[in-house]
Amino acid sequence: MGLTNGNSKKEESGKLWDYPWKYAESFIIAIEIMVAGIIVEALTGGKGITIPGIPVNIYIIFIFAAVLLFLHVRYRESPAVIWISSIPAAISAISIYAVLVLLLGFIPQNSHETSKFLDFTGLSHVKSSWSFVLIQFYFLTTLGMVTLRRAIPFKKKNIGFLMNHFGLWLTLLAAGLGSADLKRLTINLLEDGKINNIAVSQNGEMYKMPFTLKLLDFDVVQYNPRLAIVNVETNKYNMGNAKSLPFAVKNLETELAGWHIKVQEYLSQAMLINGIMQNSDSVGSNPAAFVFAKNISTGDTVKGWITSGSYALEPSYLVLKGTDFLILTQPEPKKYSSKLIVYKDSLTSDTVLLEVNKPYSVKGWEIYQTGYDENKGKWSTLSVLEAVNDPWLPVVYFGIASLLCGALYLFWIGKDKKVKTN
Amino acid sequence: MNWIYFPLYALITAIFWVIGTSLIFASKRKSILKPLGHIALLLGIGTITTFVVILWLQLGRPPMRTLGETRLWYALFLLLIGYVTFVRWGYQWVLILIFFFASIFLVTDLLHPETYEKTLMPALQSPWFVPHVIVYIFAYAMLGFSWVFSIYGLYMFYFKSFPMKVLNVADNLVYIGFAFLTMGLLFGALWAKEAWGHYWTWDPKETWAFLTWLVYLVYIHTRYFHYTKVRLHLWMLSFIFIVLLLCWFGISYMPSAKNSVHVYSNE
Repeated sequence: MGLTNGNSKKEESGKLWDYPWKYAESFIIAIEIMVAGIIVEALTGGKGITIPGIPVNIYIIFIFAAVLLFLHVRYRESPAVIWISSIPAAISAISIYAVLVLLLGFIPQNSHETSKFLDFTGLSHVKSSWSFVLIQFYFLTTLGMVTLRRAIPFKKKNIGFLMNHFGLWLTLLAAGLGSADLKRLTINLLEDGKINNIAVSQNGEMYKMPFTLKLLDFDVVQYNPRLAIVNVETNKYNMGNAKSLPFAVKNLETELAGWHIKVQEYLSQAMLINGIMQNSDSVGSNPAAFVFAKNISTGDTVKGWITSGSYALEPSYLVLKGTDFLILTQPEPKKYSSKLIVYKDSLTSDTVLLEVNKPYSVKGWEIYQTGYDENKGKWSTLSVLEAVNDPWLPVVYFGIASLLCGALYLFWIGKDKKVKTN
Repeated sequence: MNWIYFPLYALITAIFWVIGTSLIFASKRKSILKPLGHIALLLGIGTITTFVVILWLQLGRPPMRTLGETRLWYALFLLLIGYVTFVRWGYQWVLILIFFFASIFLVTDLLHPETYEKTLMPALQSPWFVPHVIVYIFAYAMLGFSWVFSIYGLYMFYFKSFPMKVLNVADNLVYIGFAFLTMGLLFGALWAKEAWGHYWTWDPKETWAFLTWLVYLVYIHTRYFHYTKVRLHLWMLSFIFIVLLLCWFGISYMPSAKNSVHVYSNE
């Protein structure tokens, strides 16, 4: 196949920039591209690059692909085109790209505590910085050219190579340029019987959706709260030898930090009514446990009701000793879901149970259950949904599918075939 | 509840797997022991599969909602992937390695019956959870072994004579590991789309996983085109594993990872 001449050494007398270009030239070019990106970034005020949306990004993809194809068909033997599809070019591109990803992985992105230096070099927003976009463009050029070399003329033995390289090219290109058209909007629904078709973007822009929603019921299923001994001075749990805090359930007997604790009664929704702790369906009721605590070394005993508290009620606790209090933690959510009516138009509607991990599709939008009023917890009447629209998803998925097939090919064929050709 | 029979099934699986692996190690070429070994390994996989199927039927839902249930799948799929890798590549030690990993999950389930009931947090209750984790475990295992080969290779290179075979086996492990790394990354992306609305959000773990993928990509390409530069590749292979380890364990300590969904909980 010999698309690059990994073994053909440059003449000893050959100076830098004499063809064929190797690693030195490739890395100089890659670094220059990165530096050029930083300069543009600084000159434009460190705001990053704004990727254009449909239809401009579609034009860019077609023009980019057409230019690569033209270069391949017309100039495939020219030294510059041979270089751009060579391994040194590819390695320089992947390496500098990896360096930027490394910085992205180390430096907190888009955080509030940023500095002028980080902004003007683009390091505070690597993924939308000029350097990153230009290096990605360089990477995609080498990747695209090498793909074309193996694709035209087509040979069956190159199929695995093509699935991997074309798959990556398409995925990165479509995900990168397509990010401009990604819409992620928040829809807040209240259990107030009203219909809603307004969604809000992160910048606070309002969008009218092509469908209308009505929240029938929002439901949170919670775990039982846990028993904990907390030092109110340091505000830390006193765990003793326990690895995790025990869930409060009726008849539980456990040892925690030198205390033997027994839960005699547990009520998942309780309230003090006329001085008596009892089950209650009232809004704001909270988990309650009647506990006995006995100090294992001194034999001191304490007993009484402890409660988690809710947005409406103060928690209650038992003082064990000094600053050590026995408390019932806030229960954690196990599952939350919204029962909705989705009106697609004036005639058709759907009743949907929306849960985490189970999005619902309507008119090109995916609707997700994302949150609720955590302060009110179980008693939240607010359900927070996210509506996502990504017209590029099929293209990206096509690229991902191609990469997955390529990965299976890689597993099955492995290295052995390739060693022979070397 | 079907879990009462779990120790029995786990024990039978382990016995089959130990017998199968022993037979394969003991067998010479064309020996009758080899097919017997394969049968034993398959019976082992069959036993644990039977348990999963029965559990599934009795629960009336895919057993994928609790911690204990996910460990069951880990064990099953690890044995399956290990077996397929053995059949394809003939590396006998993969059987031992994979059995070791699978045993960890089975034994954890045996020791912590309470986790049979412990429900996962909502976002983790997804059919993608198990495949995502399992291909990663396998990829890390393979790349970990390629690292062991690189260290062995370095030792041979500097103190003995270096046989190219060492690096060739390491390469093949890198290919297998890289294939699974790719799958793990992409399964994660597909899952993220279902759970969080987008397939890629540059979460620190994603960023580091992508970085790991890129450095192995560099290794594969330099190795492929500069086959004779042994010393470079031995050093490279031994160093890039550090990126993988940082991705696996180091994330929790990085300033960028405060809000990552991947920081492992201590419970």
